[in-house]
Amino acid sequence: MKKILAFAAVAACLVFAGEALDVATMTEKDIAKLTYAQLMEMPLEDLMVLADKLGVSVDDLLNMKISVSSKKAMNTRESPGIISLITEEEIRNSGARTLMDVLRLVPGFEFGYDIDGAIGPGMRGIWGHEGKVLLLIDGQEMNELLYSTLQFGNHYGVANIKRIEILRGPGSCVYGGFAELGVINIITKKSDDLNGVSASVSASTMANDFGRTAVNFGVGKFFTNVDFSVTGTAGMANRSDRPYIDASDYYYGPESDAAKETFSNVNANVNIKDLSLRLIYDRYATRTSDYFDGETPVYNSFDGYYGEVKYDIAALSNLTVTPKVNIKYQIPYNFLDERYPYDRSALRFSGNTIANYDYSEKLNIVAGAEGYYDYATDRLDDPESVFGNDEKNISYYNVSGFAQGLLKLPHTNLVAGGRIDGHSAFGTAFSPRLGITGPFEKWHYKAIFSRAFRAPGIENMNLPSPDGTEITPERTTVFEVELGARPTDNMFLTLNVFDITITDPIIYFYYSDNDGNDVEWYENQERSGSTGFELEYRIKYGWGYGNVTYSYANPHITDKFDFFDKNKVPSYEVPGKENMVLGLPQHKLTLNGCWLRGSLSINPSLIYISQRFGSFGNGIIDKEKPSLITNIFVQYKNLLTNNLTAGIGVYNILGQKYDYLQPYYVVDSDLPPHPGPSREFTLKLSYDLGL
Amino acid sequence: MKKSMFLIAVFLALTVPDYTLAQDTKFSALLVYNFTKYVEWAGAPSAFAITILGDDPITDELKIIAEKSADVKITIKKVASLDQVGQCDLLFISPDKSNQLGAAIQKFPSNTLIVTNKDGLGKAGSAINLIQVDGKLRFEINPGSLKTSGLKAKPALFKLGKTIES
Repeated sequence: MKKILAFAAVAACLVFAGEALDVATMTEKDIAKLTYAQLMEMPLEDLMVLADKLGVSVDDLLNMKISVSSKKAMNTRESPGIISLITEEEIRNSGARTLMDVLRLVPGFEFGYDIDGAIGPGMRGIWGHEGKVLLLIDGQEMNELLYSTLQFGNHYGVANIKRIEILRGPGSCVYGGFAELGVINIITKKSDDLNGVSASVSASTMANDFGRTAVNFGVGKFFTNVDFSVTGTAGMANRSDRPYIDASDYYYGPESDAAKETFSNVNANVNIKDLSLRLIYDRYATRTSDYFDGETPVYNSFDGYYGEVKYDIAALSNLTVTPKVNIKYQIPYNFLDERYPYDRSALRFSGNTIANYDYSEKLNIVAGAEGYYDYATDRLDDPESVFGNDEKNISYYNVSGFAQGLLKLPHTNLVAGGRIDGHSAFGTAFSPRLGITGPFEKWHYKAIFSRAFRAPGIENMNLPSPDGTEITPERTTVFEVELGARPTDNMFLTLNVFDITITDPIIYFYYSDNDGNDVEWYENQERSGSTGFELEYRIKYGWGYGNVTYSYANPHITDKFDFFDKNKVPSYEVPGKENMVLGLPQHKLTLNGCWLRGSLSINPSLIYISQRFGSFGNGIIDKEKPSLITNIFVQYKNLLTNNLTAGIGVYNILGQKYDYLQPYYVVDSDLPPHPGPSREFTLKLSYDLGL
Repeated sequence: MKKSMFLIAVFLALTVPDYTLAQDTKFSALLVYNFTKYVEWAGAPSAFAITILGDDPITDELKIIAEKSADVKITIKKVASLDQVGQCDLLFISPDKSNQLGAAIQKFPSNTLIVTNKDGLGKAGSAINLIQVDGKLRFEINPGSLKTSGLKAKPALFKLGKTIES
């Protein structure tokens, strides 16, 4: 009997051992259980059958290497920062008209109206227009140097963007004084992305006026040792088709052209082996309806020229040294109107060298040094229009050094680094960062402590307070904790909690004296900040993808601890509501989904912004109702002919009356809400031609 | 407000999860591993040297495969620039370094299989290019590039991939 049992057992083993895997009947769950050994033994034919059964996953996004938070390419789960990553495909399918449409779907971002037609960003419940958020386009800092601002509105097109990496937390330890609250890093299409010629046009109309027209192009080609690309955009747009009534009750309807804007941009890049040259020209012109007593306002333009020469020296197999020099020349807030003339330029020369050293597979060190020289000029003929030094020119310089160590241990990455800046006018600023990140198969965690700062802009230093106190940098302390889960290959969920304290925030003051003269200055106040959390849920399947985000920010979450009473800046306060600041919402919910069916994509999106408070002019602070912006974009690839893509979309389907609020209150200078776009129908056509 | 809640509810209903599984990077690496079996090198190497140019998640998967490979010894090396690429049997160029393809072809004119992972690079001269078609993993094979490199592919490879000419 024993012999029979033994024979049966051996026979059974032989039968099982010889049993081939039936790949045809395997389900996706069966495939997930296969070992590497089984997969490696499989014939290629079978492997392709299995690959056919697999769908797409969120891994494409999670594995994408980004360097915005650390200068070291890492995936989003490992990076020492709270990260959002937006791909070309997502931008294209969404039908986004401008960068602002893209950022609206990112947790924490909302926009406000500054002055002179400028729309700026708020981030995590903090107004970040002046020098708190850094925008990089292919490594070039776009913030203008006089006030350190960024102009969104209809400024930055998206047709030539390859990827956007967003650090939703401080980045001063790497980038210095503009990266206090966050960094938006835009990577445009390179030669290999274009590999030919592409062109696109878009046109839209709002309910009561035209919306936007734009022409975009891209040319790129790579050869054996040389590659080049040139991309560009030009067009005009309307900030709103709704009427605006200014603080003096003057009416500006669509016929006044008061909200018309123009934009143009050219970005050229040549790489000769490891040498890279880049030139960018950027122009944006907006208009303001304020202070013109009903007359048609003039353009307020922003011109910028950016140049970079960079060389990657692979000194050793594990050491890369990258020296680069940059030049940037800007003429921001150029207001050639005899009533309010402003014509100043700023020039920056900078040099930077970064060494990236892989000591071992576990230890990476990035270190570098940077220096810049700023030179500003008042270009008006008026001899009385001078800088604070009573001259037509003023200059500053800054030197900095930074270092960062990254230690990779099993399921744990430790990051420690810091940057020290020494400025000729405002002194030194130290920005350390300590972080720990832990990626596991199904989940990850991050805990980050950062100090950051905002470097005062040239005009901030030029307009000191009447008592003679000089401006110092804002200093910011941020704590962030993130937990992420990847319950299946197709889903990704993150939750982060943050606390931001800004000490010595730089605040603008203005009043009109008894003689009607403008008196304006900047001074450091006690503190501001916010506490909150952000939730993001992403899915990606063969049929499409989607994401849901929710963000919450509060300057005063409890009365129990003074630490959480963040805002002590009167001009940000909402009377009677300690848990809010002017202009920005406490809650934001976004939904974005894209269904893919062969050449067809249908992309609805929705943005809910909770109630906000803002100035309504003449000292009145009032409530703005919640807004629900719903959009849809339908796109078809290879329409009629190969390489032609057509899309139609409707923005603000419900026709909500969304307004841009001024997120601060200044006596004699407070502005009523500026209307945003109403329902807008848009058409886009793009054509790619290989060379 | 009711309208808002309805829209949100519709959106959430449409995003109810299913259990589709996907392991694109792993299967891309398995394809690369299989190319070592389906392509013939002059003087068939007893150990395969695979170099990955650029940061690509396929590197980690290939390292696992190399460790588990019993038939043939495989070494995996990751480099940041083309200058650092030494003699290798298979050069995988990550998408972010794809503008180095021309220079790589010039540097390794023969007996190195160049594999890429980006739309259009098969036509641009890569011998084998991994692509996604409707979300499914596929590969293009360029017989002209293979021939120029002095490599021969088994007929099964042409059967399973999409033949493409420069």
